Amino acid sequence: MTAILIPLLILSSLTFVLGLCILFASKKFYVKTDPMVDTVTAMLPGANCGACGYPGCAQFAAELVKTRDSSKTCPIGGDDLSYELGRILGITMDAAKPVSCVVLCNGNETTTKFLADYKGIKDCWAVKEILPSVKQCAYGCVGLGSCIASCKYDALEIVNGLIVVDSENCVGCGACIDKCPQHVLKLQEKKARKYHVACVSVDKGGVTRKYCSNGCIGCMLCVKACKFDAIKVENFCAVIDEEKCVNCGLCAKVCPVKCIPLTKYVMAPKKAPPKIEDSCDGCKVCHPNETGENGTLGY
Amino acid sequence: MKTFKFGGIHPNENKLTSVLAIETMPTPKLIAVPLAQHIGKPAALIVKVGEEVKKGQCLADANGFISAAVHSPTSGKIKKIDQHPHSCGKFVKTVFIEADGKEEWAEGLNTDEIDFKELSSQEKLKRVKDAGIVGMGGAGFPTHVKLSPPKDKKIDTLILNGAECEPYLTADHRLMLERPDEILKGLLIIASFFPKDLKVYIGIENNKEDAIKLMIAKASSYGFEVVALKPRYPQGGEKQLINAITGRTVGNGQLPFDVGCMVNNVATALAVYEAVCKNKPLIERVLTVSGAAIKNKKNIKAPIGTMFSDIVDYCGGIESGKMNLLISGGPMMGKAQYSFDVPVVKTTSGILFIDEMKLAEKKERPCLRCGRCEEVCPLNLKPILLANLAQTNVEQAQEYGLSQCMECGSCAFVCPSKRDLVHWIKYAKIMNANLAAIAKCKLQGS
Repeated sequence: MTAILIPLLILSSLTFVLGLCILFASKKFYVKTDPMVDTVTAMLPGANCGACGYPGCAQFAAELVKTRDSSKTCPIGGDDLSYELGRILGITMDAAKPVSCVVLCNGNETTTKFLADYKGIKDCWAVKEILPSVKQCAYGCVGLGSCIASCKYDALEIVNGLIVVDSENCVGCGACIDKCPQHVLKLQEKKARKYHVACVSVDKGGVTRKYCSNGCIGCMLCVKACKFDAIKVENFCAVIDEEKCVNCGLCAKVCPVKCIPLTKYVMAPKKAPPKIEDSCDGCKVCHPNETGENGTLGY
Repeated sequence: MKTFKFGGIHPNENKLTSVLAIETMPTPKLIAVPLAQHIGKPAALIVKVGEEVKKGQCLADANGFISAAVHSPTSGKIKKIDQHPHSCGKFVKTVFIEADGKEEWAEGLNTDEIDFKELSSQEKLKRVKDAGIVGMGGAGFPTHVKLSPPKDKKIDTLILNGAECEPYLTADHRLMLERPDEILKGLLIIASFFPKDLKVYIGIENNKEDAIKLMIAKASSYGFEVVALKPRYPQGGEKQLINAITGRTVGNGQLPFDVGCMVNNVATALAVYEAVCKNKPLIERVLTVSGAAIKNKKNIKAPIGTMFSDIVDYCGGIESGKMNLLISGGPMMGKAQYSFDVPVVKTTSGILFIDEMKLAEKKERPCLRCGRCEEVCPLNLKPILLANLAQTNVEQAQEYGLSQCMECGSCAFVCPSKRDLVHWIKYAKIMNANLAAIAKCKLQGS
């Protein structure tokens, strides 16, 4: 009996003493945190993707609470989250500009000729060390998917030897952008209808045509078709001026090689500003920091 | 018999061309001379499109300390200057020359032989530099830089590298048999840059018995010692050759002159002789054309800038349906090529047309942890560890001696699971370089 009792006693007393130590330490060395930061952190998606420019959600929350900078946004949360954050922090957040990743290459294994029978390790960077690319085009997507591992949202996939972005899954965090040796991944603003030039080849039209039936040949048809002067050809490759472009699709219609594809994004419906009832007496409970007039909100 | 201490393998020698004399290939109609044929900065262009050039005229000057000049291998007109595939796998700025067939030498070049003793050390070095000579064994390190080591390093041993440990290649072997006097004079010129008490060795693998005999007969009058080596790959590597002949070990991050040694290739010694005594720039080289898929295997002397396709034509074409792999260089360290439009450069020691399906159809299997790659590594590294770190934690690979790896390929050769060890190590090297470049950008940005 004592064989059990003695260790039991020793252990329970030890537990008690150590518990007291922990209690003391937690009181003595308590670090005060801003409850606002905790609240904001809890509201953020918690993916720690780094799209905001901070290492993780907690750091972003701390910075946002500290500076109350209305231009800081979480690209993943979008308009909804901005609205909520603004309400809690008592500031008017800028409208979020949701972005999404897009591939500037349209050459899959049926349209682009292959350079050689590559048998080495399956990594784009490893290919670039010994060959211009797996395909004859030295500029486009290599197609071995070095970028896929960097995506936390399962939005990248290799289809027919070409990287394809799932526009529903992509949140526009930009983690994949510098994982591409060819620099064919780019962030573009999300719009219901969005056109981009899916080619980066700077070879002359005839040369591009020889190895890829989908590559831009710099024929200038799109330039002539554009009514907004938003597209020009530089180094035998069309470039769209994002500011002038209205995404009408005239250029895509005339493109003989079909290298101006359309991406349709599902846009979250804009949240209507809160409706203010006539019975509002300006108690500021709904919006504590705003010193608005009776019946107005800071939106 | 002497050999190096750690690791090494002995692949099937396949020296199919060792009895064939060197043939001089006629200059093809179109020559493509890349501006980057060496380690260091590409040469700086000094000619324009449409310009008439003479044979041996300088096309591009050395650009910076570690760089080498590039010369025209024939007389003719510059057709275009454009990016073109290079045997390193990348696109490199290349000068295309349309040969006029006159082969006119530029003034003052290719003169009658003079005695190098008349020239001062400075003049000799200038001639080597102006001739654009680089290490012709494969690495392509500019020779004039090698010949002017830091003042505080004392060189007491000079080694002529006639090991030629790569299978198939016989270019150095043939050079030693056919032009021994010129090679030895070249070696004497290199030796004259250093103090008198210099010990000079000529290291030749024992599978070239005729070359060893000839060299012993010729070298005794110069006071050079010929060392016969046990055939073993990679004996032709600088560090391995020094270890095999002198017993000294070139440690981590050290260069040969840190242990008082210098190694020069047979072809480099010949080029030095021609540059100093005849004022002839490096515009041609001897290379081996071999492999089962080419009709006539040959040792040829080809102008630098000759396209591989012209060499195929000269050697009777390819056996139909046999060709599987085109390699520039030896089978162990050479690079597979995707095009016949690649020009011969100063470091192309051979062109191989391989028919073996084994090479092309290999399949990677999981690592057995057998440790054979560690056994054969001549630098005592752990190749499988480096290859695994390349896939998981590239930065950590540095701690395990990533930068020391010379990519000799011994580990991948013995691997029973056919793992792409060397390619992963190369991958780790570029990824580390990328990380360093990004870190540098960030540092400058802030």
